Amino acid sequence: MLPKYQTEVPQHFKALFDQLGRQLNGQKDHHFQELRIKGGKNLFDMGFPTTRNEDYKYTALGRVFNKEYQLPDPKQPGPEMMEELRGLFNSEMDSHRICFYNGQLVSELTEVNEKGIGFFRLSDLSDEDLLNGEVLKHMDHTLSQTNNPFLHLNTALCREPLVLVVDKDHRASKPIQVVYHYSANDSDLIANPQFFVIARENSKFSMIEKHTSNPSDREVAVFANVFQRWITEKNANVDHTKIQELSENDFIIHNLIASQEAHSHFYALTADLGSRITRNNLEVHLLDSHTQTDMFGLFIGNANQHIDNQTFLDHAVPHCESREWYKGVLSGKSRGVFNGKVLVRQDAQKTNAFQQNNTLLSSDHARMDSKPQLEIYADDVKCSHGATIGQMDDQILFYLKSRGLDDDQAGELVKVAFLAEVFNSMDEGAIKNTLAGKVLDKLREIQ
Amino acid sequence: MLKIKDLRVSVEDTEILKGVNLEIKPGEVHAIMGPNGSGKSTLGFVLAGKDDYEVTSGSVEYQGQDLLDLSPDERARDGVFLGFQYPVEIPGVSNSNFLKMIINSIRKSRGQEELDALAMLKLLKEKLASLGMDTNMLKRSLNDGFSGGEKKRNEILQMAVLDPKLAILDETDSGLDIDALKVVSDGVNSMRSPDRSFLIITHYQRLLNYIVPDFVHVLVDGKIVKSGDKSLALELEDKGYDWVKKESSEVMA
Ligand SMILES: Nc1ncnc2c1ncn2[C@@H]1O[C@H](COP(=O)(O)OP(=O)(O)OP(=O)(O)O)[C@@H](O)[C@H]1O
Ligand SMILES: [Mg+2]
Repeated sequence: MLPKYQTEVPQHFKALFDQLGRQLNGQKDHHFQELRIKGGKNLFDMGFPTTRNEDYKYTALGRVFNKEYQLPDPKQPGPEMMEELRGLFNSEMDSHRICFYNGQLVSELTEVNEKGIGFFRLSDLSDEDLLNGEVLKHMDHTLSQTNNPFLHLNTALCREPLVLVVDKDHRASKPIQVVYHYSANDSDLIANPQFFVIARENSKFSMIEKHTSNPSDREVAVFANVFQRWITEKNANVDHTKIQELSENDFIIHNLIASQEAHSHFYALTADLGSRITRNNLEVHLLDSHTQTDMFGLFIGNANQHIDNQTFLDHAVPHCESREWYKGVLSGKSRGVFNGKVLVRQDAQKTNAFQQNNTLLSSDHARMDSKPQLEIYADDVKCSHGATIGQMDDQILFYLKSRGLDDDQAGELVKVAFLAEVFNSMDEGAIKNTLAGKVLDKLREIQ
Repeated sequence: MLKIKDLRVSVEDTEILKGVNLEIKPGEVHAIMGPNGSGKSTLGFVLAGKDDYEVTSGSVEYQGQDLLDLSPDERARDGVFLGFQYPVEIPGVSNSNFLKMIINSIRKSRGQEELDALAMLKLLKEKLASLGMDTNMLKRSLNDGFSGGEKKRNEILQMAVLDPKLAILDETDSGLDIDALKVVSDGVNSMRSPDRSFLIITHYQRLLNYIVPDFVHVLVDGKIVKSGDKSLALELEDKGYDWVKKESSEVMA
């Protein structure tokens, strides 16, 4: 018999959807409820993907759906958890702060106070507010276009979408630090944060986003199903770094869709160090010419971790440039998947697209499935793509050891060196240092 | 310092070293010459602990202990240094970070205090200057895109900071221009001391004008077929290897 999730969306997801509907009764009139209900309907029509779906060929999600998830408690966390959450921010980084606990905003720990940067709950915007209409219109459009059921799941089970707007011509004075923390205690927990980010014309800012969960000495699991929609308007310049460090029983599906207007620059760095199963769906749509898109990825897996990066870059217009480079180190019995699709449509002349995935397997039992795909329908373009999967080079290791470095030091040096291009793509500063520190810790832990 | 007895070494069932005997006393400089493929680099790798090689018989004693029992990093920490004939390139590792890392790890293993950033910089600058190297070399990736000569100087730089007891230099002179040869030789000569020994592998007698050896050995087909003093190198330069090959087969016949 087929597992249940392959034939229908498990009953308890429907039950959660109904439960949230009852809880949100008071906000019934808000237009987001219409979207939410649409999301639920789409999800139940569409169902969850199985490994027979080409895009999920290497990532079986049975383990994820096989749980009796509960919705997060709508109450704000207690004082002890507040302290813990506060500690998750990098206090050495002068930054704005946004805190999500189990996918819900923690207002006490959220501080975005800069003229030119707006941060709202969607439900706080009045129906007449232009921003409200704009966000809902985009969301409706995105959801009607997608075949990704996790966007529908997120919308169906999201309590309150958040909106960040960086105003026209505004250059943020400091980065925005976003902490997503999850904690499952007595039951399995599902979290569905939804975040809408708008970089207005000629604006500039950077964001660092971290995902963590409570320690894994528990039977129950967290399932974080994140949805972010980024709009980068004309000449906007945004820089987004995500560091995922969930505990080893947890699941995360991180969905990010960005669109870029003319002369904009979108930089995304996706770093996955934790979780049992990670799936990243990163999509960038180019709406106008002379854009620059950077998609960098870094993944380090050990034990039974499974890290799947799915990216889609749509070159629909001419004169755009993109760089995509994912690098990872897999040890233990971990598995990695890279499925990067770059589409260069017929109109996209003078496209300059680079795509590369390199993986270092540091154990005989680790495995990588890499599928870089470049589909080109224009003739005057510069495009390249490739993938390598290799082992540690014994000649290099011997050279290092002959200088007195022990096995661990030599291995660490080789791995760090292997990841160099990803770090080189980052600006110098606190975000880079934070990531470098975490990567080093993880590499030491898996030796 | 080093006692090699009847050392036989194979790679994938092919015997490469066929019974090497060699003793090096503290403070001595020995040179090994020999035709291509005779096993000179193999000897260096085996002494440094590369595990592609199988020692089928014989023994190597270093400072009273069984060298073959130690891992490559233990040997390095105990003072064995191999300057590679072909140093490997490691893109992504900065030369300065690498040097700092090996200096501090060796200091730690010798019970010395680690150097702080300032002391480290001072040490590196000093050593670089003495080898006529540009400080820009520190910023670059380890050996990555280095010219042949730059790589060899970088090997000598590593030797200088690691302060070994036994330095094996495998064709460190190949690829060096005349000035560099002089600088590198000066570097080696300045490190000569009564308790440090050198094993210098070279094809060229010219190097031995700068680094004057106490003994010269000729390795042919996995065996030392002739040993002598520095004049042997001159004789080889003059007459070629056929001469020793012939002589040794006559001796054996
Ligand atoms: N890892 C290996 N695998 C297979 N054969 C090897 C290996 N290492 C050395 N050999 C072989 O052993 C022989 C000796 O090689 P070695 O490099 O020691 O010679 P050499 O005397 O240093 O020569 P050269 O003067 O050209 O540097 C050669 O025939 C070489 O091909
Ligand atoms: Mg050689």
